[in-house]
Amino acid sequence: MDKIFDINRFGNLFEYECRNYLPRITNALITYVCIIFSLWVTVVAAQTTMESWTRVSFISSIMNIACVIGPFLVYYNANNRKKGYVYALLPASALEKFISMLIICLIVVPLLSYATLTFTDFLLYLLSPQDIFGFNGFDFYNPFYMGLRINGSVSILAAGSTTLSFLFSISVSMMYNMVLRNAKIIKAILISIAVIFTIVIAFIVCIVNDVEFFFEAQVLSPGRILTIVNVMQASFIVLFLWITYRRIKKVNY
Amino acid sequence: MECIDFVFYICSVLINQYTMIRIENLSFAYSGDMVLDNISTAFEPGRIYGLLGANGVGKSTLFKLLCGLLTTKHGTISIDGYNPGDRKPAFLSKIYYVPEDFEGPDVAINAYAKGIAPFYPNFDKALLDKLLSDFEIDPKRKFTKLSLGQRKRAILAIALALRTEYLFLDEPTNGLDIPSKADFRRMVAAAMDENRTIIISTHQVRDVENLLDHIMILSKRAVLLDKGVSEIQSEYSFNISVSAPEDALYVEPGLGGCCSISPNTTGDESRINIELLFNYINSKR
Repeated sequence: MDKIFDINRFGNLFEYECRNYLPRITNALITYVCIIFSLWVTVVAAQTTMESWTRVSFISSIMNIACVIGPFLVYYNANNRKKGYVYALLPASALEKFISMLIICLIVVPLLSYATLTFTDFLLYLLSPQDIFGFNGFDFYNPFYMGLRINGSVSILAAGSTTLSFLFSISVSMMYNMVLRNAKIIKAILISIAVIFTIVIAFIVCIVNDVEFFFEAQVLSPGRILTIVNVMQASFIVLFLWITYRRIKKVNY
Repeated sequence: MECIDFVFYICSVLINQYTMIRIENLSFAYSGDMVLDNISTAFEPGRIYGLLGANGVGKSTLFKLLCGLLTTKHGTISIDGYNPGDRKPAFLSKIYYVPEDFEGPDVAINAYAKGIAPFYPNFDKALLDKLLSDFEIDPKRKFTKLSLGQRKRAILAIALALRTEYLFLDEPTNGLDIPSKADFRRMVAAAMDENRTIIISTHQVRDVENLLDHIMILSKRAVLLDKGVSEIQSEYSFNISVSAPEDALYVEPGLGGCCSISPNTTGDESRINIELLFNYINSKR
Protein backbone atom coordinates (compact mmCIF):
# COMPACT_ATOMS: atom_id res chain seq x y z
CA MET A 1 0.00 0.00 0.00
CA ASP A 2 2.94 2.31 0.68
CA LYS A 3 4.52 1.69 -2.73
CA ILE A 4 5.19 4.83 -4.71
CA PHE A 5 3.64 3.17 -7.78
CA ASP A 6 1.09 0.38 -7.66
CA ILE A 7 -0.33 -0.67 -11.01
CA ASN A 8 -3.76 -1.65 -9.64
CA ARG A 9 -4.10 1.60 -7.72
CA PHE A 10 -2.96 3.54 -10.76
CA GLY A 11 -5.58 1.73 -12.86
CA ASN A 12 -8.27 2.67 -10.34
CA LEU A 13 -7.06 6.27 -10.31
CA PHE A 14 -6.97 6.54 -14.08
CA GLU A 15 -10.47 5.08 -14.35
CA TYR A 16 -11.69 7.46 -11.62
CA GLU A 17 -10.21 10.50 -13.36
CA CYS A 18 -11.56 9.46 -16.77
CA ARG A 19 -15.05 9.00 -15.31
CA ASN A 20 -15.11 12.07 -13.07
CA TYR A 21 -12.85 14.64 -14.72
CA LEU A 22 -12.85 13.89 -18.44
CA PRO A 23 -16.55 14.76 -18.99
CA ARG A 24 -15.54 18.35 -18.19
CA ILE A 25 -14.17 18.76 -21.72
CA THR A 26 -17.50 17.78 -23.31
CA ASN A 27 -18.73 21.38 -23.51
CA ALA A 28 -15.42 22.47 -25.04
CA LEU A 29 -15.64 19.74 -27.70
CA ILE A 30 -19.21 20.81 -28.52
CA THR A 31 -17.94 24.40 -28.87
CA TYR A 32 -15.21 23.31 -31.31
CA VAL A 33 -17.77 21.41 -33.38
CA CYS A 34 -20.00 24.50 -33.44
CA ILE A 35 -17.08 26.68 -34.60
CA ILE A 36 -16.29 24.33 -37.51
CA PHE A 37 -19.98 24.03 -38.34
CA SER A 38 -20.29 27.85 -38.37
CA LEU A 39 -17.35 28.07 -40.74
CA TRP A 40 -19.00 25.53 -43.05
CA VAL A 41 -22.31 27.45 -42.94
CA THR A 42 -20.41 30.64 -43.84
CA VAL A 43 -18.69 28.93 -46.76
CA VAL A 44 -21.96 27.49 -48.07
CA ALA A 45 -23.89 30.76 -47.53
CA ALA A 46 -21.22 32.79 -49.30
CA GLN A 47 -21.34 30.32 -52.20
CA THR A 48 -17.60 30.01 -52.11
CA THR A 49 -15.18 27.16 -51.53
CA MET A 50 -12.49 26.57 -48.98
CA GLU A 51 -9.01 25.39 -49.90
CA SER A 52 -7.90 22.19 -48.23
CA TRP A 53 -4.83 24.01 -46.89
CA THR A 54 -6.94 26.73 -45.21
CA ARG A 55 -9.27 24.17 -43.70
CA VAL A 56 -6.43 22.06 -42.32
CA SER A 57 -4.74 25.15 -40.84
CA PHE A 58 -8.00 26.30 -39.25
CA ILE A 59 -8.81 22.92 -37.73
CA SER A 60 -5.18 22.43 -36.64
CA SER A 61 -5.39 25.74 -34.77
CA ILE A 62 -8.54 24.59 -33.00
CA MET A 63 -6.81 21.29 -32.22
CA ASN A 64 -3.87 23.16 -30.67
CA ILE A 65 -6.18 25.36 -28.61
CA ALA A 66 -8.08 22.25 -27.45
CA CYS A 67 -4.85 20.60 -26.31
CA VAL A 68 -3.59 23.71 -24.53
CA ILE A 69 -6.77 24.41 -22.57
CA GLY A 70 -7.40 20.70 -21.92
CA PRO A 71 -5.40 20.56 -18.64
CA PHE A 72 -7.23 23.66 -17.36
CA LEU A 73 -10.63 22.14 -18.10
CA VAL A 74 -9.93 18.66 -16.78
CA TYR A 75 -7.95 19.55 -13.63
CA TYR A 76 -9.25 23.06 -12.96
CA ASN A 77 -10.06 22.36 -9.29
CA ALA A 78 -7.01 20.22 -8.52
CA ASN A 79 -5.31 22.99 -6.51
CA ASN A 80 -8.41 24.96 -5.52
CA ARG A 81 -8.32 25.79 -1.80
CA LYS A 82 -11.92 24.68 -1.24
CA LYS A 83 -12.61 22.05 -3.89
CA GLY A 84 -9.12 20.65 -4.41
CA TYR A 85 -9.14 18.51 -1.26
CA VAL A 86 -11.03 15.75 -3.14
CA TYR A 87 -8.11 15.42 -5.56
CA ALA A 88 -5.43 15.78 -2.88
CA LEU A 89 -6.94 13.24 -0.49
CA LEU A 90 -7.64 10.54 -3.06
CA PRO A 91 -5.49 7.63 -1.81
CA ALA A 92 -2.93 7.48 -4.61
CA SER A 93 0.69 8.59 -4.67
CA ALA A 94 1.79 11.89 -6.21
CA LEU A 95 3.61 9.93 -8.92
CA GLU A 96 0.45 8.01 -9.85
CA LYS A 97 -1.55 11.24 -9.96
CA PHE A 98 1.13 12.87 -12.09
CA ILE A 99 1.33 9.98 -14.59
CA SER A 100 -2.46 9.84 -14.82
CA MET A 101 -2.54 13.60 -15.46
CA LEU A 102 0.21 13.22 -18.06
CA ILE A 103 -1.65 10.47 -19.95
CA ILE A 104 -4.95 12.34 -19.86
CA CYS A 105 -3.46 15.69 -20.94
CA LEU A 106 -0.91 14.40 -23.46
CA ILE A 107 -2.80 11.49 -24.99
CA VAL A 108 -6.48 11.25 -24.06
CA VAL A 109 -7.51 14.90 -24.49
CA PRO A 110 -5.60 15.36 -27.81
CA LEU A 111 -7.00 12.07 -29.13
CA LEU A 112 -10.55 12.99 -28.16
CA SER A 113 -10.15 16.44 -29.71
CA TYR A 114 -8.58 14.96 -32.83
CA ALA A 115 -11.35 12.36 -33.17
CA THR A 116 -14.08 14.97 -32.68
CA LEU A 117 -12.58 17.42 -35.17
CA THR A 118 -11.84 14.74 -37.77
CA PHE A 119 -15.32 13.26 -37.46
CA THR A 120 -16.94 16.71 -37.78
CA ASP A 121 -14.85 17.53 -40.83
CA PHE A 122 -15.63 14.16 -42.38
CA LEU A 123 -19.35 14.66 -41.71
CA LEU A 124 -19.30 18.09 -43.37
CA TYR A 125 -17.39 16.65 -46.31
CA LEU A 126 -20.12 14.01 -46.74
CA LEU A 127 -22.80 16.70 -46.54
CA SER A 128 -21.26 18.93 -49.20
CA PRO A 129 -18.18 17.47 -50.89
CA GLN A 130 -18.30 20.27 -53.47
CA ASP A 131 -17.56 22.87 -50.73
CA ILE A 132 -15.07 20.86 -48.70
CA PHE A 133 -12.26 19.56 -50.85
CA GLY A 134 -11.10 16.10 -49.87
CA PHE A 135 -10.70 14.47 -46.52
CA ASN A 136 -7.54 15.61 -44.83
CA GLY A 137 -8.14 14.42 -41.27
CA PHE A 138 -4.68 12.94 -40.96
CA ASP A 139 -3.07 16.32 -41.51
CA PHE A 140 -4.76 18.08 -38.57
CA TYR A 141 -1.87 16.96 -36.51
CA ASN A 142 0.94 15.64 -38.62
CA PRO A 143 4.42 16.77 -37.59
CA PHE A 144 5.71 16.19 -41.13
CA TYR A 145 2.91 18.19 -42.74
CA MET A 146 4.66 21.55 -42.69
CA GLY A 147 7.90 20.09 -44.07
CA LEU A 148 6.06 18.25 -46.82
CA ARG A 149 4.00 21.30 -47.64
CA ILE A 150 6.92 23.71 -47.81
CA ASN A 151 9.86 21.61 -49.01
CA GLY A 152 8.16 18.55 -50.37
CA SER A 153 10.49 16.53 -48.17
CA VAL A 154 10.50 15.24 -44.62
CA SER A 155 12.81 16.94 -42.13
CA ILE A 156 13.24 14.94 -38.93
CA LEU A 157 14.55 18.03 -37.16
CA ALA A 158 11.50 20.08 -38.15
CA ALA A 159 9.15 17.22 -37.31
CA GLY A 160 10.84 16.89 -33.91
CA SER A 161 10.47 20.62 -33.38
CA THR A 162 6.73 20.45 -34.18
CA THR A 163 6.26 17.53 -31.79
CA LEU A 164 8.27 19.24 -29.06
CA SER A 165 6.23 22.43 -29.52
CA PHE A 166 3.10 20.33 -29.06
CA LEU A 167 4.49 18.76 -25.85
CA PHE A 168 5.81 22.15 -24.69
CA SER A 169 2.41 23.85 -24.99
CA ILE A 170 0.64 21.07 -23.06
CA SER A 171 3.30 20.80 -20.34
CA VAL A 172 3.29 24.56 -19.80
CA SER A 173 -0.51 24.42 -19.48
CA MET A 174 -0.24 21.61 -16.94
CA MET A 175 2.23 23.67 -14.94
CA TYR A 176 0.14 26.86 -15.09
CA ASN A 177 -2.90 24.86 -14.00
CA MET A 178 -1.17 23.52 -10.90
CA VAL A 179 0.65 26.75 -10.02
CA LEU A 180 -2.12 29.32 -10.51
CA ARG A 181 -5.06 29.25 -8.12
CA ASN A 182 -7.79 31.22 -9.91
CA ALA A 183 -8.52 33.01 -13.22
CA LYS A 184 -5.99 30.53 -14.51
CA ILE A 185 -6.42 30.89 -18.28
CA ILE A 186 -6.34 34.71 -18.25
CA LYS A 187 -3.32 34.78 -15.93
CA ALA A 188 -1.56 32.12 -18.00
CA ILE A 189 -2.07 34.14 -21.19
CA LEU A 190 -0.83 37.36 -19.55
CA ILE A 191 2.23 35.69 -18.04
CA SER A 192 3.04 34.00 -21.37
CA ILE A 193 2.75 37.32 -23.22
CA ALA A 194 5.05 38.97 -20.67
CA VAL A 195 7.61 36.15 -20.94
CA ILE A 196 7.54 36.13 -24.76
CA PHE A 197 7.82 39.93 -24.83
CA THR A 198 10.85 39.82 -22.50
CA ILE A 199 12.54 37.12 -24.59
CA VAL A 200 11.94 39.03 -27.83
CA ILE A 201 13.32 42.26 -26.31
CA ALA A 202 16.36 40.40 -24.95
CA PHE A 203 16.92 38.78 -28.35
CA ILE A 204 16.68 42.12 -30.16
CA VAL A 205 19.15 43.68 -27.71
CA CYS A 206 21.56 40.78 -28.33
CA ILE A 207 21.32 41.17 -32.11
CA VAL A 208 21.74 44.95 -31.99
CA ASN A 209 24.83 44.60 -29.77
CA ASP A 210 26.46 41.87 -31.79
CA VAL A 211 25.21 41.97 -35.35
CA GLU A 212 28.40 40.48 -36.73
CA PHE A 213 28.11 37.41 -34.54
CA PHE A 214 24.67 36.57 -35.89
CA PHE A 215 24.87 37.55 -39.53
CA GLU A 216 28.40 38.04 -40.71
CA ALA A 217 30.22 35.26 -38.90
CA GLN A 218 27.30 32.88 -39.69
CA VAL A 219 27.96 30.92 -36.53
CA LEU A 220 24.34 29.81 -36.38
CA SER A 221 23.08 27.91 -39.37
CA PRO A 222 19.31 27.23 -39.63
CA GLY A 223 19.87 23.58 -38.73
CA ARG A 224 21.91 24.55 -35.70
CA ILE A 225 19.29 27.07 -34.57
CA LEU A 226 16.63 24.37 -34.85
CA THR A 227 18.75 21.97 -32.80
CA ILE A 228 19.28 24.60 -30.09
CA VAL A 229 15.55 25.37 -30.08
CA ASN A 230 14.73 21.66 -29.78
CA VAL A 231 17.14 21.16 -26.88
CA MET A 232 15.76 24.24 -25.12
CA GLN A 233 12.18 23.08 -25.65
CA ALA A 234 12.99 19.61 -24.31
CA SER A 235 14.69 21.13 -21.25
CA PHE A 236 11.71 23.37 -20.55
CA ILE A 237 9.28 20.46 -20.95
CA VAL A 238 11.21 18.51 -18.29
CA LEU A 239 11.26 21.59 -16.03
CA PHE A 240 7.51 22.27 -16.41
CA LEU A 241 6.63 18.64 -15.77
CA TRP A 242 8.87 18.55 -12.71
CA ILE A 243 7.17 21.70 -11.31
CA THR A 244 3.76 20.10 -11.99
CA TYR A 245 4.80 16.95 -10.10
CA ARG A 246 6.12 18.97 -7.15
CA ARG A 247 2.87 20.95 -6.99
CA ILE A 248 0.79 17.75 -6.97
CA LYS A 249 2.96 16.42 -4.15
CA LYS A 250 3.31 19.51 -1.99
CA VAL A 251 0.54 22.02 -2.71
CA ASN A 252 -1.23 23.34 0.39
CA TYR A 253 -4.99 23.83 0.44
CA MET B 1 3.85 -10.42 37.80
CA GLU B 2 5.49 -6.99 37.76
CA CYS B 3 7.52 -8.04 34.75
CA ILE B 4 4.34 -9.01 32.85
CA ASP B 5 2.75 -5.69 33.79
CA PHE B 6 5.80 -3.85 32.55
CA VAL B 7 5.80 -5.75 29.22
CA PHE B 8 2.08 -5.08 28.86
CA TYR B 9 2.68 -1.38 29.56
CA ILE B 10 5.49 -1.17 26.99
CA CYS B 11 3.33 -2.98 24.40
CA SER B 12 0.37 -0.68 25.00
CA VAL B 13 2.62 2.38 24.70
CA LEU B 14 4.06 1.09 21.42
CA ILE B 15 0.63 0.18 20.04
CA ASN B 16 -0.76 3.56 21.06
CA GLN B 17 2.15 5.25 19.35
CA TYR B 18 1.04 3.80 16.03
CA THR B 19 -2.75 3.63 16.40
CA MET B 20 -3.69 7.11 17.33
CA ILE B 21 -3.35 10.75 16.46
CA ARG B 22 -0.57 12.53 18.28
CA ILE B 23 -0.05 16.26 18.03
CA GLU B 24 3.05 17.74 19.63
CA ASN B 25 3.94 21.42 19.89
CA LEU B 26 1.97 22.19 16.75
CA SER B 27 1.94 25.78 15.54
CA PHE B 28 0.46 27.18 12.37
CA ALA B 29 0.13 30.69 10.97
CA TYR B 30 -1.48 32.13 7.85
CA SER B 31 0.94 34.77 6.51
CA GLY B 32 2.06 35.79 9.96
CA ASP B 33 -1.38 35.51 11.58
CA MET B 34 -0.92 32.81 14.22
CA VAL B 35 -3.87 30.40 14.39
CA LEU B 36 -2.57 27.42 16.35
CA ASP B 37 0.21 28.06 18.85
CA ASN B 38 2.19 25.23 20.40
CA ILE B 39 -0.68 22.78 20.73
CA SER B 40 -0.16 19.27 22.03
CA THR B 41 -2.89 16.65 22.32
CA ALA B 42 -3.84 13.13 21.30
CA PHE B 43 -6.92 11.46 19.83
CA GLU B 44 -7.46 7.83 20.80
CA PRO B 45 -9.29 5.16 18.82
CA GLY B 46 -12.85 4.17 19.70
CA ARG B 47 -13.93 7.67 20.58
CA ILE B 48 -16.00 10.47 19.12
CA TYR B 49 -14.37 13.82 19.72
CA GLY B 50 -16.17 17.13 19.72
CA LEU B 51 -13.94 19.96 18.53
CA LEU B 52 -15.44 23.22 19.69
CA GLY B 53 -14.34 26.81 19.40
CA ALA B 54 -15.38 30.24 18.23
CA ASN B 55 -15.08 31.22 14.58
CA GLY B 56 -11.50 31.58 13.40
CA VAL B 57 -9.79 29.68 16.23
CA GLY B 58 -8.39 27.12 13.81
CA LYS B 59 -10.76 24.14 13.88
CA SER B 60 -10.84 23.76 10.09
CA THR B 61 -7.10 24.49 9.97
CA LEU B 62 -6.51 21.68 12.45
CA PHE B 63 -8.57 19.33 10.24
CA LYS B 64 -6.56 20.36 7.20
CA LEU B 65 -3.32 19.73 9.09
CA LEU B 66 -4.59 16.32 10.22
CA CYS B 67 -5.48 15.40 6.62
CA GLY B 68 -2.22 16.68 5.17
CA LEU B 69 -3.92 19.44 3.18
CA LEU B 70 -1.74 21.91 5.07
CA THR B 71 1.78 21.38 6.34
CA THR B 72 3.79 23.13 9.00
CA LYS B 73 7.40 23.06 10.06
CA HIS B 74 6.52 23.90 13.65
CA GLY B 75 5.58 20.82 15.62
CA THR B 76 4.62 17.31 14.59
CA ILE B 77 1.50 15.35 13.80
CA SER B 78 1.58 11.58 13.73
CA ILE B 79 -1.39 9.48 12.66
CA ASP B 80 -0.70 5.77 13.08
CA GLY B 81 2.96 6.66 12.63
CA TYR B 82 2.38 8.61 9.39
CA ASN B 83 3.17 12.25 8.84
CA PRO B 84 -0.06 13.54 7.18
CA GLY B 85 1.90 16.08 5.11
CA ASP B 86 3.51 13.23 3.13
CA ARG B 87 0.03 12.24 1.83
CA LYS B 88 1.07 8.61 1.45
CA PRO B 89 -1.63 6.43 -0.14
CA ALA B 90 -1.71 4.06 2.87
CA PHE B 91 -2.37 7.03 5.14
CA LEU B 92 -4.94 8.61 2.83
CA SER B 93 -6.94 5.37 2.72
CA LYS B 94 -7.25 5.53 6.52
CA ILE B 95 -8.85 8.96 6.62
CA TYR B 96 -11.84 10.76 5.17
CA TYR B 97 -12.65 14.42 5.50
CA VAL B 98 -16.04 16.03 5.01
CA PRO B 99 -15.63 19.83 4.84
CA GLU B 100 -18.30 22.29 5.88
CA ASP B 101 -19.15 23.38 2.36
CA PHE B 102 -19.06 20.23 0.27
CA GLU B 103 -20.10 20.88 -3.32
CA GLY B 104 -19.52 17.50 -4.88
CA PRO B 105 -18.49 16.57 -8.39
CA ASP B 106 -20.83 16.69 -11.38
CA VAL B 107 -21.48 12.94 -11.26
CA ALA B 108 -24.12 10.65 -9.78
CA ILE B 109 -23.71 9.67 -6.12
CA ASN B 110 -23.38 5.95 -6.84
CA ALA B 111 -20.87 6.63 -9.66
CA TYR B 112 -18.76 8.74 -7.32
CA ALA B 113 -18.92 6.12 -4.58
CA LYS B 114 -18.06 3.38 -7.09
CA GLY B 115 -15.07 5.42 -8.27
CA ILE B 116 -13.53 6.00 -4.85
CA ALA B 117 -14.49 2.61 -3.32
CA PRO B 118 -11.40 0.72 -4.62
CA PHE B 119 -9.15 3.11 -2.69
CA TYR B 120 -10.77 2.33 0.66
CA PRO B 121 -10.37 -1.34 1.62
CA ASN B 122 -13.16 -1.30 4.25
CA PHE B 123 -15.82 0.26 2.01
CA ASP B 124 -19.24 -1.28 2.69
CA LYS B 125 -21.59 -1.02 -0.29
CA ALA B 126 -24.55 -2.51 1.59
CA LEU B 127 -24.08 0.07 4.34
CA LEU B 128 -23.98 2.88 1.77
CA ASP B 129 -27.23 1.69 0.20
CA LYS B 130 -28.84 1.51 3.63
CA LEU B 131 -27.61 4.95 4.68
CA LEU B 132 -28.73 6.57 1.43
CA SER B 133 -32.10 4.90 1.76
CA ASP B 134 -32.42 6.06 5.39
CA PHE B 135 -31.44 9.58 4.34
CA GLU B 136 -33.97 9.34 1.47
CA ILE B 137 -31.38 10.13 -1.20
CA ASP B 138 -31.64 8.68 -4.70
CA PRO B 139 -28.14 7.31 -5.49
CA LYS B 140 -28.66 7.91 -9.21
CA ARG B 141 -28.91 11.67 -8.78
CA LYS B 142 -25.95 13.94 -9.41
CA PHE B 143 -24.44 15.89 -6.50
CA THR B 144 -24.88 19.10 -8.45
CA LYS B 145 -28.63 18.50 -8.75
CA LEU B 146 -29.10 18.15 -4.98
CA SER B 147 -29.94 20.80 -2.39
CA LEU B 148 -27.32 21.67 0.25
CA GLY B 149 -28.95 19.42 2.84
CA GLN B 150 -29.28 16.50 0.40
CA ARG B 151 -25.65 16.91 -0.69
CA LYS B 152 -24.57 16.89 2.93
CA ARG B 153 -26.58 13.74 3.65
CA ALA B 154 -25.16 12.03 0.56
CA ILE B 155 -21.53 12.75 1.43
CA LEU B 156 -22.09 11.80 5.08
CA ALA B 157 -23.53 8.47 3.93
CA ILE B 158 -20.46 7.89 1.74
CA ALA B 159 -18.10 9.00 4.53
CA LEU B 160 -19.63 6.54 6.99
CA ALA B 161 -19.79 3.69 4.44
CA LEU B 162 -16.08 4.02 3.61
CA ARG B 163 -15.41 2.84 7.17
CA THR B 164 -12.08 4.65 7.40
CA GLU B 165 -10.25 4.55 10.71
CA TYR B 166 -10.30 8.33 11.02
CA LEU B 167 -13.25 10.44 10.05
CA PHE B 168 -13.11 14.23 10.22
CA LEU B 169 -16.46 15.99 10.01
CA ASP B 170 -16.49 19.78 9.78
CA GLU B 171 -19.91 21.17 10.74
CA PRO B 172 -21.68 17.98 9.64
CA THR B 173 -25.16 19.04 10.75
CA ASN B 174 -25.16 22.41 8.96
CA GLY B 175 -27.88 22.32 6.34
CA LEU B 176 -29.56 19.20 7.73
CA ASP B 177 -33.24 19.34 8.64
CA ILE B 178 -34.44 18.15 12.07
CA PRO B 179 -35.20 14.51 11.08
CA SER B 180 -31.85 14.29 9.25
CA LYS B 181 -30.00 15.49 12.35
CA ALA B 182 -31.56 12.66 14.33
CA ASP B 183 -30.68 10.21 11.53
CA PHE B 184 -27.13 11.56 11.49
CA ARG B 185 -26.70 10.95 15.24
CA ARG B 186 -28.11 7.44 14.95
CA MET B 187 -25.89 6.57 11.98
CA VAL B 188 -22.69 7.93 13.50
CA ALA B 189 -23.38 6.03 16.72
CA ALA B 190 -24.07 2.84 14.71
CA ALA B 191 -20.95 3.30 12.58
CA MET B 192 -18.70 3.67 15.61
CA ASP B 193 -16.39 0.86 16.66
CA GLU B 194 -13.29 0.48 18.83
CA ASN B 195 -10.85 1.01 15.94
CA ARG B 196 -12.43 4.17 14.69
CA THR B 197 -11.85 7.79 15.66
CA ILE B 198 -14.39 10.39 14.66
CA ILE B 199 -13.69 14.07 15.18
CA ILE B 200 -16.63 16.42 14.78
CA SER B 201 -16.16 20.16 14.63
CA THR B 202 -19.39 22.05 15.20
CA HIS B 203 -21.10 25.14 16.50
CA GLN B 204 -24.40 23.25 16.65
CA VAL B 205 -23.42 21.52 19.89
CA ARG B 206 -26.95 20.38 20.68
CA ASP B 207 -26.98 18.33 17.47
CA VAL B 208 -24.11 16.16 18.68
CA GLU B 209 -24.46 16.48 22.45
CA ASN B 210 -25.31 12.84 23.07
CA LEU B 211 -22.74 11.51 20.62
CA LEU B 212 -19.52 12.80 22.06
CA ASP B 213 -17.09 10.84 24.24
CA HIS B 214 -14.57 13.61 24.51
CA ILE B 215 -14.71 17.38 24.28
CA MET B 216 -11.92 19.63 23.12
CA ILE B 217 -12.37 23.39 23.26
CA LEU B 218 -9.96 25.45 21.21
CA SER B 219 -9.30 29.14 21.56
CA LYS B 220 -7.04 31.19 19.40
CA ARG B 221 -3.60 29.84 20.27
CA ALA B 222 -4.54 27.34 23.00
CA VAL B 223 -6.47 24.21 23.92
CA LEU B 224 -8.75 25.37 26.73
CA LEU B 225 -10.31 22.00 27.53
CA ASP B 226 -9.36 18.48 26.49
CA LYS B 227 -11.30 16.01 28.59
CA GLY B 228 -13.48 12.94 28.33
CA VAL B 229 -17.20 13.32 28.95
CA SER B 230 -17.08 11.13 32.09
CA GLU B 231 -14.17 13.16 33.44
CA ILE B 232 -16.12 16.38 32.92
CA GLN B 233 -19.19 14.84 34.56
CA SER B 234 -17.20 13.77 37.60
CA GLU B 235 -15.63 17.20 37.88
CA TYR B 236 -18.64 19.43 37.25
CA SER B 237 -22.32 19.39 38.02
CA PHE B 238 -24.73 20.97 35.50
CA ASN B 239 -27.90 22.32 37.09
CA ILE B 240 -31.08 24.13 36.18
CA SER B 241 -32.59 25.82 39.22
CA VAL B 242 -34.68 28.82 40.18
CA SER B 243 -31.70 30.51 41.79
CA ALA B 244 -28.03 29.89 41.26
CA PRO B 245 -26.31 27.57 43.74
CA GLU B 246 -23.89 29.29 46.13
CA ASP B 247 -20.90 27.36 44.86
CA ALA B 248 -21.76 27.98 41.16
CA LEU B 249 -18.73 28.47 38.96
CA TYR B 250 -20.74 29.91 36.10
CA VAL B 251 -24.36 30.98 35.75
CA GLU B 252 -26.52 31.83 32.74
CA PRO B 253 -30.11 32.95 32.91
CA GLY B 254 -32.46 30.48 31.29
CA LEU B 255 -36.15 29.75 30.92
CA GLY B 256 -37.72 29.15 34.34
CA GLY B 257 -34.55 29.90 36.31
CA CYS B 258 -30.88 29.71 35.60
CA CYS B 259 -28.42 27.20 34.22
CA SER B 260 -25.27 26.77 36.25
CA ILE B 261 -22.08 24.82 36.56
CA SER B 262 -20.78 23.93 39.99
CA PRO B 263 -18.13 21.56 41.30
CA ASN B 264 -19.41 17.99 41.53
CA THR B 265 -19.31 17.35 45.27
CA THR B 266 -21.84 14.52 45.40
CA GLY B 267 -20.29 12.21 42.81
CA ASP B 268 -23.57 12.03 40.89
CA GLU B 269 -23.21 12.48 37.14
CA SER B 270 -25.39 15.12 35.50
CA ARG B 271 -26.04 15.58 31.79
CA ILE B 272 -23.48 17.92 30.23
CA ASN B 273 -24.75 21.19 28.83
CA ILE B 274 -22.01 21.70 26.25
CA GLU B 275 -23.04 25.24 25.40
CA LEU B 276 -22.84 26.23 29.06
CA LEU B 277 -19.53 24.42 29.47
CA PHE B 278 -18.15 26.18 26.39
CA ASN B 279 -19.17 29.60 27.72
CA TYR B 280 -17.77 28.79 31.17
CA ILE B 281 -14.42 27.65 29.81
CA ASN B 282 -14.19 30.70 27.55
CA SER B 283 -15.11 33.04 30.44
CA LYS B 284 -12.13 31.71 32.45
CA ARG B 285 -9.58 32.86 29.85
